[in-house]
Amino acid sequence: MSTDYNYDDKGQFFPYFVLTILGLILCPLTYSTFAPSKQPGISKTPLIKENNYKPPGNEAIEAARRRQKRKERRLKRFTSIVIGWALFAYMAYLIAVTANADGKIWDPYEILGISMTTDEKAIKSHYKKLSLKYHPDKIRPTANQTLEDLNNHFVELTKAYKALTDEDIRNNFIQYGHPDGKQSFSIGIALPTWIVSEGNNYYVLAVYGLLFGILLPYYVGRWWYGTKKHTKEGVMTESAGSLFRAYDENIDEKKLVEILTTGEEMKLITGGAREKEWIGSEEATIERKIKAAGLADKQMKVIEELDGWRRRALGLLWAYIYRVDLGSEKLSNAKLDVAPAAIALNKSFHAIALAYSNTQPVMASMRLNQCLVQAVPPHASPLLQLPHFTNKTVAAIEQDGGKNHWTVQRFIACPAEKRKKLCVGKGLLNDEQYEQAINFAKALPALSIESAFFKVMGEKYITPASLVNFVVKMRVVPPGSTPPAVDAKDLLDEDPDETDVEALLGRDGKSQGKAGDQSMTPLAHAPYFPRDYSPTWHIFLADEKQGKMIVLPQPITRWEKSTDNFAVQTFKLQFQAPPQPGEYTFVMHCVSDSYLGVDKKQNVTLVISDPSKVEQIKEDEEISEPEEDSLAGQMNAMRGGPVKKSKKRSSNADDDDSSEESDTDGEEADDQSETDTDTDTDEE
Amino acid sequence: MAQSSDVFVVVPIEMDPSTKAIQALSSSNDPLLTRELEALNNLHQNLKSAPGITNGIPPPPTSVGPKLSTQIERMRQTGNNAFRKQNYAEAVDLYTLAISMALRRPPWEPSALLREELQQLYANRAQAHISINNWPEALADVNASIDFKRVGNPKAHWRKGRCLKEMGRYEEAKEALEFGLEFGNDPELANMLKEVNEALSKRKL
Amino acid sequence: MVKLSIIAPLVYIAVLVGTLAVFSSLYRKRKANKAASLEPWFGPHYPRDIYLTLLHQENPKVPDNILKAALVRRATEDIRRVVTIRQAKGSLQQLLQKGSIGDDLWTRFTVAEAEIEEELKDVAMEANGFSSEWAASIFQSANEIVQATRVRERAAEVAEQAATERAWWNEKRERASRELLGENNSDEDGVLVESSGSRGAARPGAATRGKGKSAS
Repeated sequence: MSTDYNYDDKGQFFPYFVLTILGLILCPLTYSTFAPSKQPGISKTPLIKENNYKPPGNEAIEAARRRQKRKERRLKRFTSIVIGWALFAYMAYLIAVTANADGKIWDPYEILGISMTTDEKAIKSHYKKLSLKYHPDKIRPTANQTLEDLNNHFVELTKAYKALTDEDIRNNFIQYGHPDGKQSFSIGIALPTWIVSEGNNYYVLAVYGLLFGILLPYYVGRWWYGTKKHTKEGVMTESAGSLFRAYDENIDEKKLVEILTTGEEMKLITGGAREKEWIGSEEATIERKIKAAGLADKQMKVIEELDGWRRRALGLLWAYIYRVDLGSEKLSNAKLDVAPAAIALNKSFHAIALAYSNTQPVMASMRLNQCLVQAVPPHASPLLQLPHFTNKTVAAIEQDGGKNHWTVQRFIACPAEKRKKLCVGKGLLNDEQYEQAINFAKALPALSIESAFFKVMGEKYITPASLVNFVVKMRVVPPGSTPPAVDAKDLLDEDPDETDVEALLGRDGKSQGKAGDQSMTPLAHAPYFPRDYSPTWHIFLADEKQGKMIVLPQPITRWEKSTDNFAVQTFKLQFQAPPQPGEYTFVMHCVSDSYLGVDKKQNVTLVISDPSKVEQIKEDEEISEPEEDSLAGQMNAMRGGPVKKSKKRSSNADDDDSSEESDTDGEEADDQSETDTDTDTDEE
Repeated sequence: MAQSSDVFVVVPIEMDPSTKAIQALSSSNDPLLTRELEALNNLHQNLKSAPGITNGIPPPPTSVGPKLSTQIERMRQTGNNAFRKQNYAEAVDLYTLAISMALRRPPWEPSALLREELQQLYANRAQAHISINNWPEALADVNASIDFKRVGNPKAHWRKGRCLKEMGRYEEAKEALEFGLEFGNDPELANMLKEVNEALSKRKL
Repeated sequence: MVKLSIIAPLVYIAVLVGTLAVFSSLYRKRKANKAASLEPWFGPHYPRDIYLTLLHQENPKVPDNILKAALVRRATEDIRRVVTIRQAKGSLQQLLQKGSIGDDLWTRFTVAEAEIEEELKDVAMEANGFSSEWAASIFQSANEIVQATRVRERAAEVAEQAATERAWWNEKRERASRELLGENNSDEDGVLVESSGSRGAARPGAATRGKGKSAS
């Protein structure tokens, strides 16, 4: 073997090694920690600019928020990154500073101590001078130089001189970079020699074995089982399993609350490792308080039939929903931990319910989400969302004993005087609180559906099994604001130009929305919820008769940015039309997942035309006969040719009917021409 | 416990020799077990006392005992008569009796029949309640009538809308009527919906 | 050193294969244990246990009629489970593909499915044991029983609902009449003149009053 591995005996190359390894680790780590996440980030803008509403128990809520932020800060990662880069810098410094004793580029100019521009004569004289100085016979070794060093140095000088003057040596230098000719190829390994020295190599092997045989599989295994432990929605797979088994098609919000507490995340909070922290009297306290807050007997019974961590979790969840003050800090913290866990589990349940496609559980899940975000009991008044509103305030306003709850919109629609009189007073709100409440109420993002229709791109009629677009045009109309009238043009859905393939495929910026054009919806106003929550709206179509969803919900998390606050937004759902022609009535739902009382419902009809009729209509329209009233029509009629009876241009909705009409009209005209006596009958 | 077909859990039960009822041993107090045993004993009694069953085996649900059906039908007709004579309270009582008779049917008979009977009886009773302005009771009855027969039952939806409207619950009435209109465009339903919408807009607050 | 150089690779291969074999057998055993110890999908099957206990009870021997009733109960519970399984299958597959549930759940489901199929066959056999041709009709009867139970449960809710609605309605009318009196007398403690609640008695007057109140 001609190659020889030179280990780094002088210990000057290991910085390169360490540098490379560190670089490999640090760059991706730093990038992943600091780079913007691929997910469309949660917008940080709150709904109301100056929101200084502090709900009761706010300190605990703020504390919970802080705790969560601390957990997310990933302190360990940051410290390790800082240390890593410090080490990196140190290595770089070492490299720069260490004198390159070996392997430097052999530079004759440097050895002789002359610049590159010296001419041959100067080189010669310089060499003569140097040789006088450095010849081993002439010079005496000083304290830190051996005789050998002196000899080597002089040999180097001679070599350098020869390299610049002598032909052969010069050639060598040019070709191989060294006057001695071809050097043996040496590979240096930037690891210190002691690694391979006798005795040590077992330790080295042991280190390798440890690293690759034990640590690597361990971490890979831990990562792999970690990813398998959570579902796509971010809950543990065991929880998703429990939720799935508890699914029933007749679930309502109250039952769902009970089901959500079967999740493992709940167990982590109220049981498992923290089991011993709980005292029996605490359970009793929780249950007493929620009963006093108004939880119905049926739900209390369910709690009492449970045991252990599940009972505590259910009690805490109801306590959160009913905004019960539990007294001790520990209970409040547990209560505030249970709420985000419930939201996460609800998302998992939502996915499960969608797989079954029954409307009721899906609606229950979305409505419960609203309740959880706003801390309002199911089927309670949407007015409880408003700051400072309690059950007493609501009772004073609604005066209806719990049915016919008022929505925020209805509240604002009241004349201002009356509104104020209803809720400001002794034991109710004071003026300042009233102002805060109205402030939020007027910012509530209620949607108004301006138009909703079905459309197949590029076609006028919808045929069976075609790809239908359900177009919804809506605006955000907060209560109390009067939006301008809608421009009719905004309500149409223009088909893009036929040559515009991108738009047809829906890949252009407009239909999907470039990130720049769309702004995230502001954070939900949820003073009781101890996390930032980004609201989504869901639009879907359902068949009320069967209670099934026809088109799955499309989540909307961003609006098109525009200068006009009341701009009409367009959203499209795509699905395949049913295979039979006819009229189908569906209900369109637009449900928010964080505000109560802003849901919208509308009946829509899908008319599917028989494809053969559509063909006929197309034919008729292409070769349209002259109309009856026109001159050409009269002439044609005299000649006995077919004539189109003038018919009313009916609206789109009647198109199906009118297509029927035109058929019969055509036949009638033909009949007439047949019975038409004289004239040329060869013009049929 | 993934059970294979020859493994089972021995349940602590015993038979009372005199009444031939199965009861749990006093040592266990599993509420689910008690409930199950209760159901078992009931079924046993049913099978024993049901007419037309000799060997304790429920007949296939193809045939129905005619006697009970005629009884129920007769009761319903009596109720209808009372209704026509405007003895509404009496009609309500008669219908209630018919309902309880129907519910006493043996459970192995075709349930579709039971459903149909109950649907009619609840609908009739609801109408009787409406005639004497018992809106809450009528609402409960009409809800049951709808649950037992959703399609092709426009009258029930109309009644529900009416009850809710009379009780001032206009939003709920609107929802109920719109739901009823899903099943078919009934002109009476549409009319009632119009009335409700008018009332909603006229509401002062 | 030359001596070692022949044995060394053989030793190496032997050690390698040995470790892999040990690992794979341990892993397979662990997996089998895990599959067996998976929590069952449904809870305990009471009717089945009751039936089998009664069947094997010797002194005194349980009469046939009771056994038949127990078998019908067992079939009822089985029908319920089979319906749940059939309804869940499609959704479970969808969710599995999307990654919204774990593999464990799917394994449990398949185990439960197999179990229930066996159970149905078992019940059919037992039914045939009592009377030929009963196997065909027992499941039909069980199905009807399940449906009928649902109907009865719904019927039981009617009275409860009527009571709640009546309570609310009475309260509302009280409130309304109090308001009316309050307006008339301008006296906060208006005495209630009319008695509340016309339980079933025909009072046409009440209707118009009620209607008037509902419009306010």
